[in-house]
Amino acid sequence: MPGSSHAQGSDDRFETLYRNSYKAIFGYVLRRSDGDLDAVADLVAEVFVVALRRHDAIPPPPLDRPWLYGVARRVLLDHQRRRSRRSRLESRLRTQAAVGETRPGDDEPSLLRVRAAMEQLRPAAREALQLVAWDGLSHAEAAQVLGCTPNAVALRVHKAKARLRDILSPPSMKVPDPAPGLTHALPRSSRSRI
Amino acid sequence: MNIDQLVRDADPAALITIPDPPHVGAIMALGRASQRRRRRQLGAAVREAVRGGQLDIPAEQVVHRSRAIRARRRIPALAGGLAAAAAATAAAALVLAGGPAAVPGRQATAGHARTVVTAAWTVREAADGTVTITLREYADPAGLQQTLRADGINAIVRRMPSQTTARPGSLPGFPKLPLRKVAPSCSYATTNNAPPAVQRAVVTIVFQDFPAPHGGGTRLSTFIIHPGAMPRGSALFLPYGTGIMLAPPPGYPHVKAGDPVVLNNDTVPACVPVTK
Repeated sequence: MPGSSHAQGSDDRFETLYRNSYKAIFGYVLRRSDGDLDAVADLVAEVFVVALRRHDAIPPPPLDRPWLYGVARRVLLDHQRRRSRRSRLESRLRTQAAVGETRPGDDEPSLLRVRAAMEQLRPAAREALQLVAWDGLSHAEAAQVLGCTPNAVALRVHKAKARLRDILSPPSMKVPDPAPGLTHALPRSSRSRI
Repeated sequence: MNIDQLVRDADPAALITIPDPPHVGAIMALGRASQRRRRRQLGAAVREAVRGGQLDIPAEQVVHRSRAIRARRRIPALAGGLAAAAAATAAAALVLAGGPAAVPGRQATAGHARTVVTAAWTVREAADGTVTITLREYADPAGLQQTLRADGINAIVRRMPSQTTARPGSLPGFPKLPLRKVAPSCSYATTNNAPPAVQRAVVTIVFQDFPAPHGGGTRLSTFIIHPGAMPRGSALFLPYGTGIMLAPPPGYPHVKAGDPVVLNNDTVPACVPVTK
């Protein structure tokens, strides 16, 4: 029956996507939560339940990976909204705890310093930087997740790094940003890696 | 300073071993459970909206959907009851009862709450016997009268005569719009009214038909009636008319309600034309 073979095909496609992306999505959620692995596993399951419900909308590879990150992003945003609605105070305390103590590596002062600096970035810039540096997405993929252009992602990442350099440099060692002309003088491939 | 390296090192996920994925069957089972839960939540949301008297979905749609579901579940008695209620009233009514299914026209027994909702009005009888009337639009005065009588109130619902003034105007709290105001064209004589003490004991006016100004939200005409305080032989008179204006802004109640009045008997007072 054509209907059942179509259903079987989409089930197989979902299963492949699930197996290939589970760890990546787990990492994505873990990086943006307070380090409770059980809660992370629940949220990751929720991401794949949403993907399963919308399996007709899953684009063909290689576009399916950023699509799944987009689903994960919305599930996380929903989760954070629900949590903040439940209790704004509780949510604030938890966020502080998340920044301060509970994620893996938060006991290392050097890592903590970098994470604290990242918290100071503008949300859009931080999100773009994390997608590229932590989740290993290309600019084009991150653009699909964030719903902007690859150029916008490149610009946000560039600005995020410049700001991080500024925050993390000791006051005596602060040097002015390289002249914009210098960056533009580089070949395009080098620029995208900055 | 190698910023790329610093950021990569700060990755919380780099420091733990991410577990292997559970079997895909677990996700499939979760997906099925989630679908069942969503259906239940949708049903609960509709029931809650109806119970609270805040019906954002037109009552006809709710009735249509619930009828389809009940027909599928093969409970012909209740589906038939709803069909009869819809046929008896111009606007379809949805009846919710704490006890056995109640329909308009049947006397509600004391001690359990019941709510009748239509697109135009809601009548909610609380367990203590008080009846709350909420008016949204002018429609089906006969159905409203019948429902109130089913709640043990000797009610007389009449259309309030009105006249249209072409003069454009605006309302407090709304942007200026070209309005055609519809106002009552007569006022009812008070000769048959019960004494003021009785009026106060029987009728509590929660809101009259104006929304709160300056964006405070729409307050639908809402009255609480205490049937126990009505003297023997008395009647509750509720004049009720079409909107106070044509083409009201969204959220503005399309209704003009007079004060509910307790009459000494069933004689409807004369409506004396308003002269300007």
